[in-house]
Amino acid sequence: MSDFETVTATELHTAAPGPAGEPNAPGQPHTMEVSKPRSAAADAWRDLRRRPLFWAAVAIALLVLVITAVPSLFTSGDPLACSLSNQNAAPSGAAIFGYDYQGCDVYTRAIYGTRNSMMIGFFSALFAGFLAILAGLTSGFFGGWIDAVISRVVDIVLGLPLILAGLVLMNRIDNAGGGNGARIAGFVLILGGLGWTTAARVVRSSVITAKNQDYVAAARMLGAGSGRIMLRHILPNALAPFLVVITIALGTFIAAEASLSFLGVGLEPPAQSWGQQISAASPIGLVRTNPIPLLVPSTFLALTVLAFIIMGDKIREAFDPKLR
Amino acid sequence: MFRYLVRRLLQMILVFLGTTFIVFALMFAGGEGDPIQNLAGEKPVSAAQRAQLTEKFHLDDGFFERYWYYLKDLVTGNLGESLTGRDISTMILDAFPATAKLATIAILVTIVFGVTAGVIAGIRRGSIFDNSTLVLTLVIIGIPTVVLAPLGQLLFGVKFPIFPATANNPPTWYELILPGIVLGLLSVATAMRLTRASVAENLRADFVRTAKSKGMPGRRVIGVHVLRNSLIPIVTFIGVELGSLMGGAIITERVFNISGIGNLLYKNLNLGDAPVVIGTVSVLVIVFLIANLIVDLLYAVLDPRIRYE
Repeated sequence: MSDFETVTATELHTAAPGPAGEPNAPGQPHTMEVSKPRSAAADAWRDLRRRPLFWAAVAIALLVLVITAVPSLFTSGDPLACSLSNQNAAPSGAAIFGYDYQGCDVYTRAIYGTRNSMMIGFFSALFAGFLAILAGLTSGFFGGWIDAVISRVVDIVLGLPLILAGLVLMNRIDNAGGGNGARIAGFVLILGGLGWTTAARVVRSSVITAKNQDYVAAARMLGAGSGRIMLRHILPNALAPFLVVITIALGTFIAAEASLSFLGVGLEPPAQSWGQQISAASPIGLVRTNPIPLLVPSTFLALTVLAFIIMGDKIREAFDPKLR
Repeated sequence: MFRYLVRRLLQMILVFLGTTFIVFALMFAGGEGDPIQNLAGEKPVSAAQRAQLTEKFHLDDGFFERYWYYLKDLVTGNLGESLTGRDISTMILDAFPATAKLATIAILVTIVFGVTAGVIAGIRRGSIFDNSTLVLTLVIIGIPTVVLAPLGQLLFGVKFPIFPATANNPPTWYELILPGIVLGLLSVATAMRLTRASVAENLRADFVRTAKSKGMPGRRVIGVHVLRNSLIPIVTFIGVELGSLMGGAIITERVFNISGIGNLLYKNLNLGDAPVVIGTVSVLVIVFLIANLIVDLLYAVLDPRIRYE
């Protein structure tokens, strides 16, 4: 995101006539003191700034990040303090969404489930992003047989559907024993290890476009080595589309964790995650008597995934000149 | 075209070897305990029996030899027996119709709603219909199946019981409508966005302008020229979508209690019946690969501009 921050700063000096953050007054002539044309990122940012949906998504994502960091800010309860005497109790001042079948506070549990769900999503995206850049950059930059080999590996991994392969892999980790720490690590390795392919293709194609540009040839003539050209001159070009894909992937990974936990191969109590809570609350018999324990973690999960997907989608729209 | 076909087939064989190898390696690497003892349960196994079973299942052979046997069995359609002694091919064939029906409904929903809405939105870009469907599809894309399926069941199976909340074995078409819609919704959203983008792009193409300027009626311009060109990415998408459809089917089948392939896989994973799991996953991966191949070939048929060397 530092990319966008620098853009705002330069933009404030060059383009925006009014005070920071205010839209241009209508009818006021738009003067540009500096003749330097705006970059694609600056253009995108101008577009993005005016989209309420984008800001709503950013707000939700930030809120979820705060919940992840300090869950105790949002609830004073203990997610593990369950008492069967509270079974399916209605919402009250003590528990705003009531209690579930096991007599646990639904709201508190959803708040404390945030951390594991987000951590798995975030680190999986980090790992997938690392693999994607590594694979996309080398295959796009070097081409030839390296490209052929990496592209075939991408094909093979794409041939394994995420949930299907994740189900089998997580089951192995389940059977191997090990605590929830091992399971979280397993999730990151599996989701990241299976989910990097789309991003790698995106990086590869931007790298191929960038490497034939004149400035790359110029850098090479000036004696820059492959490593320097790759990191300083080519990678920045691939960054915007890469960030879009990875933001969306982050949402997908959070959803995948929930799906796998739902299928019984994910985290287990006392560890909390949204998927595991949805799984515990979803048997039809329980839903009939009290659907709230299903609805609350579902809403948390859906809103979070939505926020990341909308962010990625809006950034993509802003960067795509065809859609303007 | 022929050379392209050959190259594509060779590529597919490579991918097939790679994916099956990964699936096999995973199940092999995580081998739990003594498989012969697992098979025998509590009963003691005599040395002769052990030798015979070791011979029968090639347990003494190396990793690659066993992979070779697995591959040979897979290609000849012999998936072996489950730990409980049932023929795995029969188990998969028994479960197949339910999943096939479910997938058919899902794909029909995708095509009927997604493509229609996409075409309308693409023609009327910027209209209220366009903007509202765009937001709606974004919301649908954002809600994972694991939320959508129990929610759909709660809303339309329990609160407003229009559809049955769970299915019998074997399921009827009527019982599969709700799960099919839930499964198809995700693809509806993406299909709608794809169609919209590609209709909008094709509307600005030179051949559309030419067709309009020579006086061709608008209905024909859109129906023949725009639509045919716009459908190409949709076909690709539906083929690729089959992968996530399978993932979604496991959850949907579980929620609505449909005895399909997803449920078969889920049950046997929890029972620890490794042969059934390997067999089912291998078959699903093969289905996925073949679907992708067909899509690639269709691509070349649908778009004569694409000429592969």
